[in-house]
Amino acid sequence: VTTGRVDELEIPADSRYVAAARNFVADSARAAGWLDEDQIDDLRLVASELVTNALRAQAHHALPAVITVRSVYHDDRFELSVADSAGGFDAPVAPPLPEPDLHREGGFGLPLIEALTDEAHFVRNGSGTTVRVVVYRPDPERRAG
Amino acid sequence: VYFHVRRAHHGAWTVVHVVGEVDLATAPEFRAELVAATKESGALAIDLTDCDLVDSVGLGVTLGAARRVRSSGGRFAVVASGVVRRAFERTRLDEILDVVESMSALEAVPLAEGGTGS
Repeated sequence: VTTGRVDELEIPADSRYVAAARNFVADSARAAGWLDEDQIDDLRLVASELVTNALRAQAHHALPAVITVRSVYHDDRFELSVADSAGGFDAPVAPPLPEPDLHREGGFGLPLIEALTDEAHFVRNGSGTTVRVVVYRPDPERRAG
Repeated sequence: VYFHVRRAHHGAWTVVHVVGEVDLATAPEFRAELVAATKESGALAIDLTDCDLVDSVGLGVTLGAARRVRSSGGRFAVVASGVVRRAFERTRLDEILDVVESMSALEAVPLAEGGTGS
């Protein structure tokens, strides 16, 4: 059993801080050591989606709030979780990627999260929703050994 | 957030060139520029080759611009590579939008009537 290295960042519920969350996640992913630049770019995109979702949940609430971004990296996997304190819990059913449609306005976030990660878990925390995603290290030799 | 947008011309195309990242914070400026550019020309290209990231918010804005251009019979294209191109592919938006690798490939983008859109 390995306990991973944990990095944590708290940001205000403000769209100007989405970029800070992306950069934080990219730094953690680099520190993990085994993710290549394409994977790090994909994780930056996932971070953007998770924090944007949290901001939108938070927007329904008047309380000033923070969003907590946490990365945990192990030798075999990278975990990223984003927690809001928006009070509600809105766990989406794993959405199928919709047929492409020129008249669609949005809804690209969850399909991107699903496409770019190996697991996505939506759980209730004490004061809102935490979304945790996992990316596994592709390494057949480790599994063979 | 690092973000800069400017308008240029490439042959018959009006090109909106984006540098930086398109997300919830920068999407309003991106959208405003696209609305202005749409009024100027019947052939609109968004050059994202110097863009480091376009998230779902930016994809939605891009699709909105495509819809406006196509509904008036115009041509629309996205120039993108790397992680930005992958975002269009993962959401299958590359199936309904003309997403090309470079500005030189714009010439091959067909008119709306014969385009890949439906």
